[in-house]
Amino acid sequence: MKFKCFEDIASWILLILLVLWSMVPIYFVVSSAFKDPKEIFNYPPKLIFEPTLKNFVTLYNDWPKFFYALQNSFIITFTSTAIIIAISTLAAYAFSRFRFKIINFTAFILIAVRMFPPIVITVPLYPIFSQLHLLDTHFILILLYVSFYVSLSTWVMMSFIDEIPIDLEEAAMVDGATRLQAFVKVTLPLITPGMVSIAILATVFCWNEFTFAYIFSVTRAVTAPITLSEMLGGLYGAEWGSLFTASTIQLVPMLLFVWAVQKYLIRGLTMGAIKG
Amino acid sequence: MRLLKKEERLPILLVTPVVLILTGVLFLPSLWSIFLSFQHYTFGYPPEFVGVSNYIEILSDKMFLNAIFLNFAFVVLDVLFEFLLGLGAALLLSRRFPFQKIWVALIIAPFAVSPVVSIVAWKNLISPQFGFITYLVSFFGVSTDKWLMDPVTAFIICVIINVWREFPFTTMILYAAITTIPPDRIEAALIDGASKFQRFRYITMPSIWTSVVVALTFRTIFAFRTFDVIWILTQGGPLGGTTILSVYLYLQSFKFLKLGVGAAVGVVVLFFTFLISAPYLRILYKQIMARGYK
Repeated sequence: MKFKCFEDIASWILLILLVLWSMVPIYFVVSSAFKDPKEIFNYPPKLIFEPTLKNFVTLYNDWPKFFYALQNSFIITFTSTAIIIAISTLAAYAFSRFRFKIINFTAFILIAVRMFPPIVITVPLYPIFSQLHLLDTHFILILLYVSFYVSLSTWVMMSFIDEIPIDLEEAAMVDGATRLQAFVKVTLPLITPGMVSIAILATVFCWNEFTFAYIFSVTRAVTAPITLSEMLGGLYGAEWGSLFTASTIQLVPMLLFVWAVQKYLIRGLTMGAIKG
Repeated sequence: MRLLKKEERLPILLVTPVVLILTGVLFLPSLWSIFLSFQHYTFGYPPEFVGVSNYIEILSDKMFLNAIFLNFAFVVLDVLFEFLLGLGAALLLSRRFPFQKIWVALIIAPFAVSPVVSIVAWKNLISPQFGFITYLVSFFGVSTDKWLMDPVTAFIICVIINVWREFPFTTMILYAAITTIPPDRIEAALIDGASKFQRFRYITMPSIWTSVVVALTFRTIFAFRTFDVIWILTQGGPLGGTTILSVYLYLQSFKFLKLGVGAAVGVVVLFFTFLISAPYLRILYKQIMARGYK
């Protein structure tokens, strides 16, 4: 009994340590955004303070660019995610329901392509995009994000569709539904968890992506992470306040989103990595 | 289309968008990049064939050889610590605590943080003027003043930040695997009087083995190409101490504008990526090609 008690205490201590490891860096960013600009530089750092919105006002006045970038991030993330969901559901349906050689082989290639390192293709793509006058456009980032995420998404969707017995669709078809109607009316509602899962994964990826946006955007299509890295690069003492605030604005919505749909996230990741 | 049987048309049509995008954006450019690696190529001029001289150039560059070494060091440290932390967190969480969901949420939080914000967060913690970690280590007489100016400490910090951001992936996958172990297997082991370690060794480990292998494979492949965290924090410095392959590729291509050399580095990265993922791809290939009608 004594031993059990010791084990419980030890596991609670470990749990708290792990939570601190994950949350302390985030806590200091978010809390500093609400600190008085002078208090940010307090040493030792203050854990308890009176919150203020001063930094938000400064950020708004000094960095209109950040809000423009935020808007870009929003447009690009939203569009890419919608396209990813649409085309990967279609492809996953084909991979799952029609299994002949060409389709199976295509499915394999699709996963193999997921292993390609993004940075490697920036070299051949940059001159091509530049010649087509596509650099620094939303279009190019959306295209790249879709290409990089569609393979994982299709894979995840495929595992979800695999779990829905084909009999259900066949029954609907016997009742006179076309193949498409059977899919839309019967299977689609059952695979919404899968769509939620890939929506989360794709959203987190597009919202946070750095490498492509850094290389392929300059001013017009610049996304929030790029403006943040710019703020970080030209950092003067007083700008920490704006930087923390901008970081908080970029981070918190995604964090709340991930927390809200945690169940689907874990399921999607597991399906993408293990099943199939 | 006429070559295809009627029932094969619909599925081919459905996969066309995905296939077109992947071919156009990933597959052809990768082939093109192999071609470019044998060319002298820079912006505004047509490629000019130079044989293997780009490869000779990088192989005789100390910086490149160092980048390969640093890259492997980075992958080994990064994946090792991510795995230990990820497995540790998953095992701990599988004990179940009151308010379980909140603990899981808090521990996987770094998953939602962008590379750039994680740099902001950690730069803040180790800031020599007002960092929280600076404050903590000062009790041990350690100063953080030179951490980002010394190649070794800068490298270690890059690893730590990457581990912090990526370990939730391993945690989530292993946690999901552990929670799906059938309870009767554990009960049976308990009845047989298995010790804690025996249960871990003979029940938990074999049940989650696939997940472990997959998580390790994926993290190795993705760690190998790490660019964002390192570039934002150090831009490859100090003194090239964090110039791993992706950073070297970026510098060659977009700073020195030697796209041919950059492409050659890209081919090397592709080659290593292929080597690491080959066993996984082989298993996957067998599995997928064996798929028949249910």
